[in-house]
Amino acid sequence: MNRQVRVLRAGLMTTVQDLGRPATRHWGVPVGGAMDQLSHRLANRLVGNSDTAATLEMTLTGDVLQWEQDAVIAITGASLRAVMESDNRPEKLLMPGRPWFVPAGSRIQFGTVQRGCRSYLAVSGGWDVPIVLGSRSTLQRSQLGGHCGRALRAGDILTYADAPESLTSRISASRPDTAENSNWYVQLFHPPAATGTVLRFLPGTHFPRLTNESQDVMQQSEFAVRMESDRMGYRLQGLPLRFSESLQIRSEAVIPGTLQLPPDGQLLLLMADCAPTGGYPRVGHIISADLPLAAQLKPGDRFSLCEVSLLEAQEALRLQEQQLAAAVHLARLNSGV
Amino acid sequence: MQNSPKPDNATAPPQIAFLSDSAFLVTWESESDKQVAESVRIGWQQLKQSGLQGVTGLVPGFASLAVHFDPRQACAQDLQVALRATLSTHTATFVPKPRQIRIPVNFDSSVAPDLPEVSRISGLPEQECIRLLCSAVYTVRMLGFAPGFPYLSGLPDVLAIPRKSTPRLQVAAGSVAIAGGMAGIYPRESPGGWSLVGRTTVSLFDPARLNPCLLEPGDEVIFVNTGTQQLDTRSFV
Repeated sequence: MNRQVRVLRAGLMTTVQDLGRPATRHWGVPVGGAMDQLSHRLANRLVGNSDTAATLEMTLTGDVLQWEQDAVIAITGASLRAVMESDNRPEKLLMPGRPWFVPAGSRIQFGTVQRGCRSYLAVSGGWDVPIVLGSRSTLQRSQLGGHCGRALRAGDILTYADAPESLTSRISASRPDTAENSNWYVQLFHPPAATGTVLRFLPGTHFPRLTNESQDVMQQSEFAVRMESDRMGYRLQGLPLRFSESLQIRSEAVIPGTLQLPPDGQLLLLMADCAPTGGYPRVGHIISADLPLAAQLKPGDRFSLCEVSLLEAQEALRLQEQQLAAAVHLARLNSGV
Repeated sequence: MQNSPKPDNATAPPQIAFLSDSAFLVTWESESDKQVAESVRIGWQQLKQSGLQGVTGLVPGFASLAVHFDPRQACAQDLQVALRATLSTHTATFVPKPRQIRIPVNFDSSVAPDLPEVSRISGLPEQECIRLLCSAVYTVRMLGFAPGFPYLSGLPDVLAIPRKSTPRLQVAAGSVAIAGGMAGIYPRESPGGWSLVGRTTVSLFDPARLNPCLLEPGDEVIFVNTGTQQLDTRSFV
């Protein structure tokens, strides 16, 4: 049986996302998926889902959702206020970073993001939309996948698959006593503040072609995320970077995290919905472990870049995976499931 | 499907460079663009068949092949060694010949708004431009720009014209277009800066289809003029 959630009010841009479409990039299809895959995975694991289950990615402002049946949910990523109203119960503030039992008939109001940009809402069982090209993620530009290929609107009805029985019953059985009354939660990283974020990068193919001065500028100055930024990529504003001589390249592979340098000298940071190929020189790539942090930057935020080695990038990712596993382990202990 | 053994070509082994911590860019050096295209195609087939652990996607480009992997599942250094071994395998790998796909194209002036300009720039009558467009055997070098959009090499040199200085905000789905020595087909309505020389009713990309993408990298493409009564079908056997 499928379970339903009604969208009473839609957030700024809420889309269904999962781990994207890595296998169809050779057709020109962007990989897409959750921008902050670490938060997406944590949310899923907190409710007993696999990493591939779909979550809702809420951008800057959240939705108001009406729950028709019992559910177990988790919220991760950017911090935002989530208030649950249920009949005959006091309002409850839902902290991010832990599972919550949602009784049938509840309404959850997600507010405005306080810090970071994107919050993830997982439901035990996973959001159920048709699989298109191997994924449930929404690719808005191609009106493909997700809920009707677009962001949620008021009046939409979302369904989610049946939860693994053991988990739902255990978490619902544990309410409203110890598990819900304690104030525990798990967090993997602090969503970025307006300034001071450092993103680590590996030099790209064309990094050595930058002037020495530009190589220094890239690492020693701050860049701001401009308003014209979205899931495809961020336009950055900083001191202009220059190549020693003009560089013309044919379209070649790019990935989320690639730093491209167009002729105007202002960096482009490609993100989840970027095309699989691009024709601008590649001066760097944000390391995999820092992509979740990059995904939490919003227009106006400032950050700096720090060059690292491949070994450092690999070690950072290994550490992050370990922290994810530890957080999930801790959550299991605390929720007693 | 007809198979042919991998030709024992004389190209140097490819360069396998890191493209970030989750992808490699494999490149081949050759004097000949055609040879590079063939190396990319063969390399792609070899890696597709080898099913290396942790590889999540393979993306052929004009002169390169991107190998995407999940750094949580594969050790990059080990994978680089495995890629080198796989790509230098000359035995036990059979690479299918390219498919040849005919695409009917309507060259009527109502759907080919830029033919007059192509004719003016090339100095050839429009009918000759159309004949040349249909005489070439194109190769799908890569798909990009939009899902299913093929970049086709093989356009006759005399039809090499630059991109339009002002892109159109709306190009109809199925528009056959040329720019910068390449041909392409717009899978769906979108903005576009290439010169429109015809239109096809064939659907290039449909996610609901069993085979969503009509063309694969390495495929050969021939435009068939739907307005031509006497088709020379021999060349398509």
